[in-house]
Amino acid sequence: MNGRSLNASTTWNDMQADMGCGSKDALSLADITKTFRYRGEWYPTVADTSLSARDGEVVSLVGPSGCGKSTLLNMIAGLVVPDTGHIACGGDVVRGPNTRVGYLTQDDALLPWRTVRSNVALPLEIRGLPRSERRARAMDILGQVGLGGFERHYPAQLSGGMRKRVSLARTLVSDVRTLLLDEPFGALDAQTRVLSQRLLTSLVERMQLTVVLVTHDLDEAITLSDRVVVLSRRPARILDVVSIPLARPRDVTEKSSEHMHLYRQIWTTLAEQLEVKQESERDLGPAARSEGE
Amino acid sequence: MSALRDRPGVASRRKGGQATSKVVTGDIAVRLYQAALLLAVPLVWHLAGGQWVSEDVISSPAGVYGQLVSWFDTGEAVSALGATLTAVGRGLLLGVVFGMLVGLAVALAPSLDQLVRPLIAPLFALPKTALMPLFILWFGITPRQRVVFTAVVVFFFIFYSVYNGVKEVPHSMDNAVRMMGATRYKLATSLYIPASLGWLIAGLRIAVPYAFVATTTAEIVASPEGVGHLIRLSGDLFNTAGIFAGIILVSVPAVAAGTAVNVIENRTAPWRLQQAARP
Repeated sequence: MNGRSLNASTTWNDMQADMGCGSKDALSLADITKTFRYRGEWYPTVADTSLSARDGEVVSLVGPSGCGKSTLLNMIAGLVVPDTGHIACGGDVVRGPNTRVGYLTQDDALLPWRTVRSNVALPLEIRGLPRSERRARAMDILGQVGLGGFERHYPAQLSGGMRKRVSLARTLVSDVRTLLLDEPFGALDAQTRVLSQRLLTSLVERMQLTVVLVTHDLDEAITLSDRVVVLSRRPARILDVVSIPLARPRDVTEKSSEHMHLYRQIWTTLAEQLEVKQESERDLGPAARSEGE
Repeated sequence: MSALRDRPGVASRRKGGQATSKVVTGDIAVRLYQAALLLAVPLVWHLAGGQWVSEDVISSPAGVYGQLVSWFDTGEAVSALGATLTAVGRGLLLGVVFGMLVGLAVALAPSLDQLVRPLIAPLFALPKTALMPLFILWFGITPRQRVVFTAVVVFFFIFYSVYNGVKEVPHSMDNAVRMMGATRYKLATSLYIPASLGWLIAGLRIAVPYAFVATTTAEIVASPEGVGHLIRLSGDLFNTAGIFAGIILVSVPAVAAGTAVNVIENRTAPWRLQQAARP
């Protein structure tokens, strides 16, 4: 488990120090800035942010809504180009859509005219794998996310939680080692969310996945992560990096006293930002609102 | 003629698939009322003719029936229908093929889109009937002229549906497929073309009835054959029964074709129906 729970980088400086060992980092962002232009006005969204994730590490990003968390993920995904700085994934600089990572957003983005199996097999189809192999691998991964027997269904015939799992299977089928999750369980009901978190935790622990998770749910961040990165209001800056030394495998329904302690610690940092934000809500403008998508 | 003016909003809106199934499983009483209404129309028509309104104006069900029988006896009905249906079919085929190709090309090529976009709305608002004299000038009073006119009318509905279909593809789907490493070609074949096919069928729902409108209009304006010609001829001869008989003659295949599109839509796109059924 390459010392997952021994990870003790708690300060920003330590985080930057992590950047040094390039070979071990599944993901590294160095001095990233991004400013968006909207109706002739400039909106700085991400300011001088450096961040890294080791192989097999789960890092959560929490911060006020519209603070630039999603923009960070979009940049790692290669869908948005940063103004300054470098993003590297598995040692390679990200240019254009990043096929080394799987990206899950609130929207499951399944193609409604394809069956579950055909949706999951799409990445392999694009890579030109033969039909028989596509099928076998899609069926295998569907079994792993607990959707065996649903391969002939259309997305519209499934519940939100099941569609989310199909979407997860579609990302995992192409053997990505890194997942970007943008509030993946936000739209699910409470019970389904717990089940999805449990599934994700077990997959992450079993497959040694590197994960960057954006969430509003501090409990979720603590339960799933090895480190929680607290971001400021827009433009996003790193305020604090909290190490989560809870032992694995984890039970997503268990909230120990340590969990509660970490929750209070993160909340204290975050609350200041939320108060500041309320005062200057009007200054944030429309770009801040559109940021949430 | 104003019916020929295109209504852009209609092609892009779906009423949801439940409407047809509701009628099938609907209340028996409603069906009975519908049947009664269907019988009442010719009955009132029959009673009114000669009593309240002159038969020269509204003819009579018996007169219309007699006219239809005589047209079928002489073979005029079959040859007129043949000419009309051929023009409708060819016009549809041409319009759909070009509408799809151009719609996809414009929607998928940003530079083409920028170039053409300002033209789309005015071309849509243009009453296509106004182009008819031009087509007569170019092609003469020929079957080709009627086919081209029908194709132009169909083209706009299909073009608009497919163009909109591509534009309506959610950003998240585009991102997801691009992150699978899809090339522009793969993106088009695995995402945009299948996405627009659903919209093509929605476009056909509008385009098929309007193809009949277009061909009939062209035949009424100038044609030596077709059902529209029969209607025009009857009108010139003050033969009201003939006008009504022509209307019925062209309406039956038009309604049948419209129903066929609905059936195809329900069969080929189960996912769309299920989606419509979900809130």
